[in-house]
Amino acid sequence: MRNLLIALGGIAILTGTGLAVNKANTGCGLGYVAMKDQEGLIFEILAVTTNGTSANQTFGITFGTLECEKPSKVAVNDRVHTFISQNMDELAMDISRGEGPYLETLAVLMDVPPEKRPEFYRKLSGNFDRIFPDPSVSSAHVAEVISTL
Amino acid sequence: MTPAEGGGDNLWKALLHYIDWESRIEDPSFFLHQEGRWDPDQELQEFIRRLKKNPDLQCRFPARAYYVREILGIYFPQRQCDELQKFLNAFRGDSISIVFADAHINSPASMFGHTFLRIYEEERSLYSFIANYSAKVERDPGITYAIKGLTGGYRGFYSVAPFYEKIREYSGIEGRDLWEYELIADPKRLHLLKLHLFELRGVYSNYYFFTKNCSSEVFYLLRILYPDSNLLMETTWTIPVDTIRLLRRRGFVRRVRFTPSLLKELETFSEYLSKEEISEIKKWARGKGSLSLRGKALYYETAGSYVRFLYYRGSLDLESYRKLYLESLRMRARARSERKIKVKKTTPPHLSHGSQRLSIGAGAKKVGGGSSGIYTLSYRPVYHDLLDRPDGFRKGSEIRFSQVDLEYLVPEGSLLLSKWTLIRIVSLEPVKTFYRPISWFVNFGFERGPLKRGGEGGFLSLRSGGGYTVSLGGAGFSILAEARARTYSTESFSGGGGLKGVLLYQGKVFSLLASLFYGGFAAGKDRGTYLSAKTGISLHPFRNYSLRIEAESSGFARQDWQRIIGSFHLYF
Repeated sequence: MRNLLIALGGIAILTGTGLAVNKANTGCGLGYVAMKDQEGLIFEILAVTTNGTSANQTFGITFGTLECEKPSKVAVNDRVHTFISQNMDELAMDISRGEGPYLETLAVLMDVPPEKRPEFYRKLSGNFDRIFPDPSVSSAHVAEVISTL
Repeated sequence: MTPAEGGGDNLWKALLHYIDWESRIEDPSFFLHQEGRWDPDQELQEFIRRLKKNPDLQCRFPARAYYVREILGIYFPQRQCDELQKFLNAFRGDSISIVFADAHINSPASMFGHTFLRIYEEERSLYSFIANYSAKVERDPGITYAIKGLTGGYRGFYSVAPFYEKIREYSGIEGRDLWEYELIADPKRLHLLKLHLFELRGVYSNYYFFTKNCSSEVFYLLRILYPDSNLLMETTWTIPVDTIRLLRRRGFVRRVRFTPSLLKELETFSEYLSKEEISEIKKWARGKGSLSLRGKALYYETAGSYVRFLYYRGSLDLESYRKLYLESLRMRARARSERKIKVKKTTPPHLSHGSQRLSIGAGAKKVGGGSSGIYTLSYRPVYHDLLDRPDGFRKGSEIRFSQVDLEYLVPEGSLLLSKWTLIRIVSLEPVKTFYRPISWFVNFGFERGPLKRGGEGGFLSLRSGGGYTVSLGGAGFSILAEARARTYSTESFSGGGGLKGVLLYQGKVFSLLASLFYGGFAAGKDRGTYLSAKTGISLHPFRNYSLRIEAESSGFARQDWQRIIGSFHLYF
């Protein structure tokens, strides 16, 4: 019964905030990753001979977080924030279920020793609503909350 | 100049991508000497000469500089290279693997799979980098695209990208499973490989679909790790899985790891959900209902993965996606965790049958009133058909290039080219719980069949069709609309179409394929109705041998043509 109430509350909050999504803030949150162009079936079928890409070839190794706003309050390591901003959707899933490769990677990047990881995962999972308070949550917010937990 | 560390000459050649005394790289900016592309010694002398004059060159060619200093023991003043340092700081780790991404549903360009290298610190960390080679293509019309891809009309480039980006692209968006083969590597050599990747920034080489493709160029990079083992493909073309087999045979592969695609995960999860639950999730994703509050953890995870999948495919806008995704995850965070469901591992690609095939067979053929005995001989350079052993391939997929079939008729004693399949691609992917892929095929080549005026003729034939496949038990049943065009001389062009039904079962030990086509040629010279039935049974308990019996009966404008063949196939 308690779960039901919480869930109902969650839905109420969600629908409320859902209407108030800030359209200007579409970067650096959930769904930030570039969507693949729908090339269309014909294009794909005829693309018989080239396992290629039309994207610009990059040496994306020194990539920063680009247009993403950096976490302000606490010192968040650059690699941690980069990873969070580039993998927010997958990470959100792993945090909600308290396990998975994205959560493990986060633990590695945050230097959480292996014996403390199960505890770390539980803590994050238990604070899902604080980490992801609304659909337009930014990666900076996620990084900040995670680092203060 | 005595090599201090081993490798010597071969290592230098590997750094310049020499195979058979020519570099595989065409870009002139990659060489300092005019003859550098063909003469590694002159290139070396020229490099040393320029390096001594201008030590800054080590920041452009750090791997070559490393070679000169560490292997040849030649002194030159050291320089601080900021950009290189940044690159190396990010590119951490001293483990390396070669990753195989299997075929992408419905995309023939990827049907052979794709390979790239991954360098990492911790195996489980997705924050690591990969090295990839691919063609930079333009938006050309289909046929130009194909021709350019085959003839070196596009330029290929090496790139370096975060591993998680590739996981999202292949496993998340394209639904391809990933197989990771960890390689044995000396840390010094691996460092040299990183330095070399830095040298390759912006350097182009001409891309050829069969001979200089993603897979071959990534494979030849490994010569830097194993300079003295003469890594070389046995065929002029390079099929991704063959590079992995060769590395395994040489003992360079330590172990294999499997990462299922998002799509496969979704399909696996859906097997544990009820029909009602699945339809709830689908309705909710369309904004026409809500998720049950009593769902299991798996139910919410499936809902979340499903909307992510829809978003990747462009079927959901960002706003709805964010709202739905977060909603499902919040509910998931509150649900109790249960027993973890693992996606069933399929056969790893290196355990699939060999990519070349040689076949012999015997049977009989009946054309109109006359019949003869036949012996057949066939060679297929690449790659897989629906009756070959399916392990290690995407089920329902077929891709063949340039398969030649010969037949010898008795008692006539004549040798005929019975078929030359230039290209044949089939994708019969069944409709899934959360995804409805199109089934389609295309076939182009020379083949024999009944003529309207009687007897048998050889044709240049193009056939293509599309439709859907449903899974019935372990088998797939497809319905396809098909268009046909054929010609046996300059003025005998005819075109038409029809409907085709296909039944396909692919098992561990045997496979069965039956198809029925009904239609005709309505335009051009040779008109008439066309009915054809084909069936084949293949016995393939072993990886590289199989036996099959195939029968075919066609009727065209009341001319009969029948053929039955038993054959033995050897894969290598």
